[in-house]
Amino acid sequence: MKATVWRPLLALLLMLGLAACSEPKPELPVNTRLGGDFVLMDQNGLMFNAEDLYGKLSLMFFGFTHCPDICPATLARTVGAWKNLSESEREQVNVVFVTFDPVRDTPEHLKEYLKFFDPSVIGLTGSVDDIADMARRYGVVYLQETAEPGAEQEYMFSHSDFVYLLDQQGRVRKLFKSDFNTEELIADVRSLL
Amino acid sequence: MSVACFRRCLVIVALIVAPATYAELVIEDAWVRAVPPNSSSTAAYFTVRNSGDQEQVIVRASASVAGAAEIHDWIETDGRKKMVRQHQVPVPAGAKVVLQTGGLHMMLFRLDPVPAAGELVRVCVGVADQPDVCVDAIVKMP
Ligand SMILES: [Cu+2]
Repeated sequence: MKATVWRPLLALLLMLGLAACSEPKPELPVNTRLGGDFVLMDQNGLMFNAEDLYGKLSLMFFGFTHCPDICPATLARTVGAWKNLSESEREQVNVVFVTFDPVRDTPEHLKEYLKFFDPSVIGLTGSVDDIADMARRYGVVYLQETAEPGAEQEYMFSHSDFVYLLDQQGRVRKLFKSDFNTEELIADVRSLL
Repeated sequence: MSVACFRRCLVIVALIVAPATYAELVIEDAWVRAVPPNSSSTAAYFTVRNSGDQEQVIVRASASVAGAAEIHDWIETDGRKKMVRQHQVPVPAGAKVVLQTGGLHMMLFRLDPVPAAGELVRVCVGVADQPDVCVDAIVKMP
């Protein structure tokens, strides 16, 4: 092909490509079915409610520290994604871990557990009822399961394992699977900053 | 000499010459999840390869820093995920079984001490009536 033919073609392709890049991503819709207020306690034993998250984005998920596979994996993955943000971006994003297991996950236990991932991770616990209430609002399903006799752990929790992206007003904007794609999550976070 | 007898002789010779080779399972790419120092448990991940021509069934697991070890799988029902102990994990002849996050994994209970990132943990699996197959697994943040 002659240069005169493919040069304009290339230019056109380049323009189309650039146009696709600069086109704003459709805004993440607000999930009106999930979310809402809660009253829990953080790892310093201080009362913590939904409004304490306002003003920043939040990456929030639910689990329990005696869960050795998916929960620490999700925690490591989420904190890892958060650490991929710039310092100024990180200051605008909370990472929040809510336990299902207030009996074992006391504020002190949560504090030591979470600082291993990053001291800035917010750990929330509370009464069984308050946690259940919050979980219901956020559409989290979990169930305490009694282990078979002689099992190593007396009880565990079966649970859903989504990571919630909340905006600066605490509204749910997106749910991610626990093995989410880090680039996708970062792009969604940045779209709300 | 019959074929069967010849085979048996070969096996016996192999046993004498190289005692380790009768273990047909090989553990590869083993690692242990680094967890906070106040954790009661962690998980180990690896691939078990069966180089033999017969299915091997893993019936036990152990690890150097753990009071007990079990192989679990994740089962999802009604939107909830749950770990279920697998008392038997078959590894088909010539095939492999992969233990990974969110799937089959080896649970390490009653950690003492909780292994730190960079340390090695000896993890073992065993088939009935055979010695354990072990490997040193590196402890790391994934
Ligand atoms: Cu498990």
